[in-house]
Amino acid sequence: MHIPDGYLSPATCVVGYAIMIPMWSIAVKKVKESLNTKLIPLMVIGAAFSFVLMMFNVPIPGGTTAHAVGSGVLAVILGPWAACICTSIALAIQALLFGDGGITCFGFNCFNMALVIPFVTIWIYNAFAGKSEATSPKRWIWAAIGSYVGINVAAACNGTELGLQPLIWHTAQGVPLYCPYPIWISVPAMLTAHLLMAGPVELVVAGLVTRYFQVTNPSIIADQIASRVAPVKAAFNKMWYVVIALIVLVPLGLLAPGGAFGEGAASDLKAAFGFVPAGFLAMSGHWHALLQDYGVPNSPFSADAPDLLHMSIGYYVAAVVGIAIIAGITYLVTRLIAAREAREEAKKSAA
Amino acid sequence: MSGDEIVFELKDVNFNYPSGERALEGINLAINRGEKVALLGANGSGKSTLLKLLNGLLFTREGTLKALGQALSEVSMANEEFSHAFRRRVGFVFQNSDAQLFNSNVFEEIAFGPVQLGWPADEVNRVVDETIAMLGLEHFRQRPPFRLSGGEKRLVALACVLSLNPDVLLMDEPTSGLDPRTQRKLIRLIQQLNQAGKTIIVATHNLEIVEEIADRALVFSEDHHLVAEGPCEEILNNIDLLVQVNLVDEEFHLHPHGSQILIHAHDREQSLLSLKKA
Amino acid sequence: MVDFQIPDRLLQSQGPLPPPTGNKKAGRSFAEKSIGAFSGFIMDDFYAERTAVKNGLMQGLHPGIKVVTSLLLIVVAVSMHSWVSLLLINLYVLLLAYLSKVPLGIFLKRVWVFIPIFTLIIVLPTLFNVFRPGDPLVVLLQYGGHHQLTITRQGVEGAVIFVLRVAACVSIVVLLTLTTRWAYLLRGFSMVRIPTLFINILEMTYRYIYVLLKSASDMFESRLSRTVGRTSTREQQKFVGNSMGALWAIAFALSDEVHAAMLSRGYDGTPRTLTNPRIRDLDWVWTVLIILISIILIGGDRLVR
Repeated sequence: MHIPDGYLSPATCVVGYAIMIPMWSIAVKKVKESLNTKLIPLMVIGAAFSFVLMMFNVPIPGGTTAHAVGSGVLAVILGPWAACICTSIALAIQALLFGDGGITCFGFNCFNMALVIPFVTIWIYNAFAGKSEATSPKRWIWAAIGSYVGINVAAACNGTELGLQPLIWHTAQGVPLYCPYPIWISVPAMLTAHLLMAGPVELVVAGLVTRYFQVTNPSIIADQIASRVAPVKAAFNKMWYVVIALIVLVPLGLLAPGGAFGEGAASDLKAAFGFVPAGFLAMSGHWHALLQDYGVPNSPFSADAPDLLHMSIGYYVAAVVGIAIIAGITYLVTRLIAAREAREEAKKSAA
Repeated sequence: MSGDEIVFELKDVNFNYPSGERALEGINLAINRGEKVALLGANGSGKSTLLKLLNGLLFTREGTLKALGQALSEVSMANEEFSHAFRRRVGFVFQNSDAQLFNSNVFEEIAFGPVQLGWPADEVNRVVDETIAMLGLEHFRQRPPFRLSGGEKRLVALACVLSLNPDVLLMDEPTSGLDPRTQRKLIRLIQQLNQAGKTIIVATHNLEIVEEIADRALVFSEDHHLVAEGPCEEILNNIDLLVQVNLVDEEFHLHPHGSQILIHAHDREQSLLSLKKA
Repeated sequence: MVDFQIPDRLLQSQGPLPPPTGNKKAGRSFAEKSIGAFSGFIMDDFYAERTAVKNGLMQGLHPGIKVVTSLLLIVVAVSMHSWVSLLLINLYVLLLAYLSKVPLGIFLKRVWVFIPIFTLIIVLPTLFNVFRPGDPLVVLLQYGGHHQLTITRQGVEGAVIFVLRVAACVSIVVLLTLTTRWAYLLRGFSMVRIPTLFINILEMTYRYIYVLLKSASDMFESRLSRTVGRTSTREQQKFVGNSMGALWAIAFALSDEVHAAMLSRGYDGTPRTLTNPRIRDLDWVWTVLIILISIILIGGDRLVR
């Protein structure tokens, strides 16, 4: 699932970082808050384990291989924020050691594997096994299922990120500038591979490791139960504000220099942002109406404010799709949790 | 006793790691059936690498290696039937027992080999029970291997190699980390297995046990050459050689006393004496 | 004296080893493939840090400067659209590698063997007009009257740009990591304001990975030496599952020991800051050079488009 440099346009990459940088800050804060010193070496082990896990190839009948990520089970054992850090670190080392996963794409790689997987896993795990004992079989079962769903959701996100590239960024002649496969190819391809190959591995690993901990050291699991739900929910409300603010502010931030310095902006600025308008103007078919309203000349060399506006539209498109996915999942799971809790209440009051 | 059949034959073998580092240089040796041989050398001298070459886990491009009369190479081991037949005849006990034991309990671990061969269930049970009885591992039948002590793991590792009855046993530092009694057990077992006809090759730098587990010793220097070969007593008497290859340091002395070899440092009084003299 | 009851079956020999016959090749099992991956240039090259201690150009630069300028170059590479400028970047990084005493054969192998070739394969379908219509460059076959299967100009252009760009980025990263010792790379990261917690964990993780890789590699090796018969895919999967569990057990036990060691050396959970090495004139010259090159490349890219 690692995306190398060059598959995603710079604009997309910026969005990836825009989402992850606040997430990493929150993760660091959360981990420090709940820190007991024993957790750090365990996180290191988690990161190293995730890294090595991504190297294990499991044979699939027919002879091909797939690999697990492990961040779902890390979320269950260490908590989702710690899992985010661990997996981000494993991904960082892979990007540096192997060039497996790009540097510019690191934001979105972490989004997919270090944010989506842990959180989807922990939501499902808490929703269905949240009220069980630390050693209950429900926990390892739902850790496994949660991981399976998590890795597939991540695969879908990944496919979306890749699939948007050729739709938005290509030259006037139609040559895609980044990933050449549109969304209707990339998403099914990613999903199939993960539903059938990597997903089951992730499921098995999560089940095995959780059970191992239940047998040898259930206090770790119990610790996570104690520090659960309420803080996570609160963090998420804040997260929405932060992310939405970023989505709005980042493009505005890019508009500002153009606006501030006016048309006579240094050639550096033109050069730096010129590539985006070129890509956008290639979408002229779609944006033609808008272009005409703003009276934009069809020149890739213009760094006028309207070009920057088109660029920011691109940002919005990419960001909104990503956020929509998270929002959809959050909404669904929150409803699930609320519905279960309502049922438990109803049972209690009936009894 | 040693037969005429040559079990391993190496001619002009050099081995480099993928990174380019030299591990073995100009190795010529032959090991006969029924021998017990010790590979002696300091860490990094290449003896573990040699064992892996003998077991077909590594392959060299320079020189030839014949095992049990057949060429042992990447090509021949790529042949599935040959590879399986070979591994049934040559067993390897690794230095790191943790790496070797991966099944859920000791019984399954020992049963692993026979199960792969497709033996019927009662046959498998019989062999495993026999092996467990031989090594005194009854208490550990259901125990997961990672919950055993170092010595117990070593015995289990040996057990799972023995369940297939290999003709040749390769062992990498089998006594490292063992307490005296377990070490004694292991040594006795090696001797008895050799008496039963097995060819045994042990890599070690533990000079205390060499005479007991081997008739012949091959000495490897730190620059990866095979520098000496001969009966154990002869090798162990050659103190200059042992110091040169870092099997013994200058502070320790080996004194042959009749059929025994004593290894000790000078006692305190003697050292004080030499200090005063100077 | 301890004595063992050697059972009769151990007194019997397996018989002579039959020579290899027939053509049934042992498909390289996943285990063998994994051993190759583990014991290859990853363990030896990277951990040995052999190139990082040589006296070349990149090795002499301040790590923070190296990290920042490498980042800049990657961003530039991702922004390039013409194959000319992308080729130039690739050649430029190759030149830097040469000046940094990196063996070029190894460098090219490290860069190209994995990701760019993989990318080439991924992008192959886009060469053809059935994927995306375009001006025909090479006509492969005619069918059904007017229809043609061709390789399009746009397809080739797109593929070349794509692969060159990916290769450029990977080569920048590989150069950075080959010429910088891990400890100093981390100092470079701290200059880019990455939280200390991350850096501490990165540092320890790097070492742990070596330990875990070695353990995993040992496991597969010993498994290989016990392969005496064909195992079903299910058996192999079970082995991998068990190995993962065993690996985790090893890692977890290690974690306990490390925690104890850290506590006994005064660690109380607060990450301490790292000290900063000095920035020299050479570093400033380098930075300016990279910025200049970036501007030239971007500008040139725009012109060539």
